[in-house]
Amino acid sequence: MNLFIERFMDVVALIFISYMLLYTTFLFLYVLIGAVRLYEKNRMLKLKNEIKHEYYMPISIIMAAYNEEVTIVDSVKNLLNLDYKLFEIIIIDDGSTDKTVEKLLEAFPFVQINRPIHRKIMCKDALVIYETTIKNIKITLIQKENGGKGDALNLGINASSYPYFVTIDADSLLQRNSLEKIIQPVLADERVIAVGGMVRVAQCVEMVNGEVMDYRIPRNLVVGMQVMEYDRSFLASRIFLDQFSGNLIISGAFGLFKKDVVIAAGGYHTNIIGEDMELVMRLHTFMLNNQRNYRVAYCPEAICWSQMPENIRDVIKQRRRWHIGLFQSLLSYPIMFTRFPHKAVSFFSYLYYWLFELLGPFIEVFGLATILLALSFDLLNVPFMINLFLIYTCYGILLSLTAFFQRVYTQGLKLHGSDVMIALLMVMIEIAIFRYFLSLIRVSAFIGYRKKRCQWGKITRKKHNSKTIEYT
Amino acid sequence: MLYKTIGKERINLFFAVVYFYFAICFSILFFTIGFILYQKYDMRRQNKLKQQFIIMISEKQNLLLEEQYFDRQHIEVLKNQLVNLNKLISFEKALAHFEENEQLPIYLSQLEPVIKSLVIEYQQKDQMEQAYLAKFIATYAAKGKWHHPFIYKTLVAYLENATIYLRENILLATYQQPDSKWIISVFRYLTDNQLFHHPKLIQDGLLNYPYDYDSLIDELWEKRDTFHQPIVLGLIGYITYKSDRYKEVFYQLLQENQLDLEEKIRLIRYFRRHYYEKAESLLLDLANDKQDEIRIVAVNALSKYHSERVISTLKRALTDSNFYVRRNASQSLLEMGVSESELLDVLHGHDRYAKEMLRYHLQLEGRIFK
Repeated sequence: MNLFIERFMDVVALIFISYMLLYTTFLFLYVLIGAVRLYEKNRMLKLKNEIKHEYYMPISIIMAAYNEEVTIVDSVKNLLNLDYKLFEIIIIDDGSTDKTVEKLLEAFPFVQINRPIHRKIMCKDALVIYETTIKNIKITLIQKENGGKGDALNLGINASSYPYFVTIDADSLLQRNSLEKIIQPVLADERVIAVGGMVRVAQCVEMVNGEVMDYRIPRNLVVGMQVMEYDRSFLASRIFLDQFSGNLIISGAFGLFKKDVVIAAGGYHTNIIGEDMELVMRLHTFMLNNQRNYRVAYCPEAICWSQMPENIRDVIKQRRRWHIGLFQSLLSYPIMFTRFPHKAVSFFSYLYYWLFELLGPFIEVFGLATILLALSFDLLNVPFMINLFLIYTCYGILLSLTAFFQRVYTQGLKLHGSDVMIALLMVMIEIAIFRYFLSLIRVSAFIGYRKKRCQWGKITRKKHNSKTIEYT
Repeated sequence: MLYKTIGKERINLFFAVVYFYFAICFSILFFTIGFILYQKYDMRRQNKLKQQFIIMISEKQNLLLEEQYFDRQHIEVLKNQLVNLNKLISFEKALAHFEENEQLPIYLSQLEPVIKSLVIEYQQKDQMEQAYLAKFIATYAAKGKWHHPFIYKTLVAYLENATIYLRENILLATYQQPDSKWIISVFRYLTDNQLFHHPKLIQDGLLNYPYDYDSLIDELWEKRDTFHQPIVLGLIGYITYKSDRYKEVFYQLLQENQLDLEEKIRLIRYFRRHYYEKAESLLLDLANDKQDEIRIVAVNALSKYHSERVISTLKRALTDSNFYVRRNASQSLLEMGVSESELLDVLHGHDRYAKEMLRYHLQLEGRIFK
């Protein structure tokens, strides 16, 4: 029996060594390439190497909302201050049960109108439509029966007038120049069909008319750790994957899409939780299947500040949804690997998401279980394990701090002295504890998930720390 | 590896790799923090340099005002200093300080020898720095009358393997001098090398041309066969904004069968902006074209052609199978001031889609409330 356990442990150890080496190598490459690209981008902006024009392509901003009475008025007011000449705003209320619509009707001079909508993609019908124009920006508010976020976005696409659309969440604040930035990859490269913007934590900033006036690390531990986690996980990995158009996720909180391609691919799926990731994966497979030359780009200069959950319960809800969404999306497109294994997007991105994002938490939990098993059979090399934990923790801290400081310099943020200390503290707790806690949450995500299909994931919102000068 | 069963050499190898990564990442962190501190220092240094340049420019402007005199030494100083990119950046910031100053063009006009020297010096630099210089020239060339062919000949030479940003900045610079030859050179280079430059960038860039745009248009149009499609599309867009002299040319062109769809669409848009009686019949034909895209744009252009035939065609277009044709037809009818009584047949007709569309636009115009 002991011999069998020893052999088993040997095999498990080898698998873990390979897995951890591979994962460490990925993280290393992320940070290395991210650092080079960010430095280069920073220099490009300083030396005016950018496509900067007075007029760009017209854009439709689609904001799907469900029970967003706390933030929605501020979010729309924020959009009215964008440095962009030609865009429209389409707000889709997906059958809210709170006062989302009432708040909007109070805040803006909407007029109810009978507007025909071209149904290019399947979605539930519009019930009531309101329109108004403020500062030459047409705002459309559409009330519909509840059908989930994907369904609401599909209606927004159907109602949109322009060839490119941007999706944003109802709790998101865009920086003044965000639209100008997110369209730039399209002007620079005709193959671009979608662009992901950078999503950051709104609780960090005080904004006035779309400009960041102050940046602080939130003192709330849950939010603070998420700030660090976002910096490490999203900035570096997406820049790395962008090198070969390999991003499989464009966050629903801020992304730009070429409308005709999205329509041709069938729009958003309505019976899936991670509709944003699913759409991007479908766009990849659609373009690959049709042998079309394309690019999915990432633009870290286009920044959106989005509210993060402020308590553990909301974090758990959010992460479970994300993990199920990831699972559904990856499972829906095995064709990416079976048919196009030679493409970088399949070989690197698809495999990466399977191995490290979807299965990673399971592997980590399995690893913890084998440690306990090894301990019980006195097979555990305790000094080695402590060493390993320490070096991994330090490595994680190093990566997080690097990503954090990279964001500071690329976005020209002024950092308060005390924030550096708080950032360090948050990073340590996040790496040593929060990360493992999230792994457990993700492993348990599938318990009872079928009951919650197509529902909106809701977290508790609070008012934005944002001021807008009167817009009329 | 967590277990005693695994070999020591494997553990050592694993740690060696992780320590290697660790060391590199630590260097990146160190570099990043160092870079943040350097940026702060650099900003202070740039401000200091900018102030020095402001004083220098003020003095020279005063001299110019009093004695119409500009010493050679100043030119030499600038030639030497502005080779340094950081100094060029500070110099540009200093010039921006005088943006509203009426004397600035006089001062700038004396700097052409400096620019001639800089374009040579920057040939040795990387593309980002070249793009910065090109943008600098684009910003001040018209004000300073930096028209010397040598400057643009050298800039065009930068195009070899250039990034989109360098290409765009060179184009912006060439738009700021009067000789169309250099603009054509860049367009030809883009065409020969099949380098995509968005038609919107071409169109908006040309709109910055501050000289005799009629001549520019004629010269560019004459060479249009030597440009690839994105440039031609941008050019048609530019002509649409700037000139009504191309009615007959575009009218003839629009009748060609082999015309590219995108070009056709842009030409139709031209006739929306510039009324041409002769084009009415052609637009009416196009409003019944087989291709949806053509019908959509033609129906939109017809809003400027008020006649019985047009009204009847637009009313028929309200029943088109394409949503956008119906939408544009409805908008065009109202835009040309057709009264509700003339539309009663549609409003009380059997086509639900036509009625819906018309009622929506009438409601938008406040003509009906429901």
